[in-house]
Amino acid sequence: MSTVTATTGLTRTVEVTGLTKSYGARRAVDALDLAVGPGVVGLLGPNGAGKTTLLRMLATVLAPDAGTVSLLGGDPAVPSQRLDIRRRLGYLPQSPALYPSFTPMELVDYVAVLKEHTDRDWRRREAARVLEAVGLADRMHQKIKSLSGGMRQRVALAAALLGSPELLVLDEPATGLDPEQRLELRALLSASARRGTVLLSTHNTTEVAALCQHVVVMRTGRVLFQGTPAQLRDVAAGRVWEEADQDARAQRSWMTAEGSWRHLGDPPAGVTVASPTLDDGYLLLAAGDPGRR
Amino acid sequence: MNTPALRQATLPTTRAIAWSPLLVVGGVLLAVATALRLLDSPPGSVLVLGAATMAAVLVFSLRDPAAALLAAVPISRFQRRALRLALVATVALPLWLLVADVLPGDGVALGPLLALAASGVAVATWLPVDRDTSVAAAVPLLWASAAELFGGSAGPANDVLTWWQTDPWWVTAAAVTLVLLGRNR
Repeated sequence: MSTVTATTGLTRTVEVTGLTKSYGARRAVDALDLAVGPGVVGLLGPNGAGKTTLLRMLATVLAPDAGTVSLLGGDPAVPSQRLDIRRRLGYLPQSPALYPSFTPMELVDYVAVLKEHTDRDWRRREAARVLEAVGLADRMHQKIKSLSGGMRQRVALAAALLGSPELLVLDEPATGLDPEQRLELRALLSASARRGTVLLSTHNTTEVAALCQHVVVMRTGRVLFQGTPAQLRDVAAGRVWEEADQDARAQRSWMTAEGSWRHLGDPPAGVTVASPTLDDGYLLLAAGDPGRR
Repeated sequence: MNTPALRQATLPTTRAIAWSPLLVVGGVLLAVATALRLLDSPPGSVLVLGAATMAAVLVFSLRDPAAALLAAVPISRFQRRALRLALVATVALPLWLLVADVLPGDGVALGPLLALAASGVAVATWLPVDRDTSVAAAVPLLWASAAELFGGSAGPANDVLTWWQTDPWWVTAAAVTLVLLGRNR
């Protein structure tokens, strides 16, 4: 059984035990245990690792086949408790479709209605606040069909941020964002994490290093690693070296921008070991190497 | 159920619905009905396929492009779909009655249309979310087509194929029960 404990505070906002979900014969999430407190927790893993399935279950969207889930102290399997959780939850699915004929303001306002905010004045103010927070203050009255992919992603993010939720579940929130927008996203999510828990999936280790207090690496529905970004980097300590040529003994190799080859694995005698990065640690794990934990 | 929120959701939901399939199908049915009346020709299979197509459009109106974004809001999928269906039905049912009025013959009862539509909605309720509406919208068409193609023979299979015509209110009641049973899915 995979076990993850990523607590950044005394209160655990997310606790799951033995969480399992299968699609036909394929097990997308396999007997996963997870305990998360306030802060930003990053989920890393290759495509098909089970990140999206896990996040959908933690967003109360998908029911698990087995296992228990506790979110903000409630059980999403119980309809009344699920309702209460959803009132305190923000969810951004992966590349969500929107209504092209709506403006961002109209869409976020609609989502606010469906989040049971019936005070129109409050709703308008809140919609303007979250749209401003995602950098769409000057676009909030344009039709969504006229916005770029990155802007649409930010509209959806704004909808997730409505009402400053205690638990934010974000599936690849940085998709389609340019570097500047990514910086803004980091600031936004750091601020959100001060009020609660932010769970996000990403393929970007730089994002994790800059934003997350904890990181979980998944592969084939299981947890390969949990810990801090520094601990993930240290998985590759002493297992990275650079040479002018390829090395068949390496588990993974790639050419760097400087033209030299960077190798991961057990370094042969005589080579100079290089400083590991978060990417190195992740790539070693993703290659099936248990690392040195 | 949060009634004030649902009431406030009515207008944006109306805007979020894709109305063109209903308007196109309604327009075509009205044109065919008018042509049949002018030619004084019996409606025949047109009536059955018309009801099935209208029912399919009703079921397809459950499709929400932003469903993934709205998946975790407190107003449930069941409530959002009920609102969509109610809005589409306020246009579709009068349109169907108008078609029925224009068609030559004894006219068309509402029951079979509701039976087919309710069956599709029941299927949509219980199918996995990702492909529910497109598959469910095919149910009225398949059922009505099967009744037309194979419903002439005697026996229990024939009874099943024509239930939506012979016992539409029972079929509707059964389908609505299934929908209600799946309201927390």
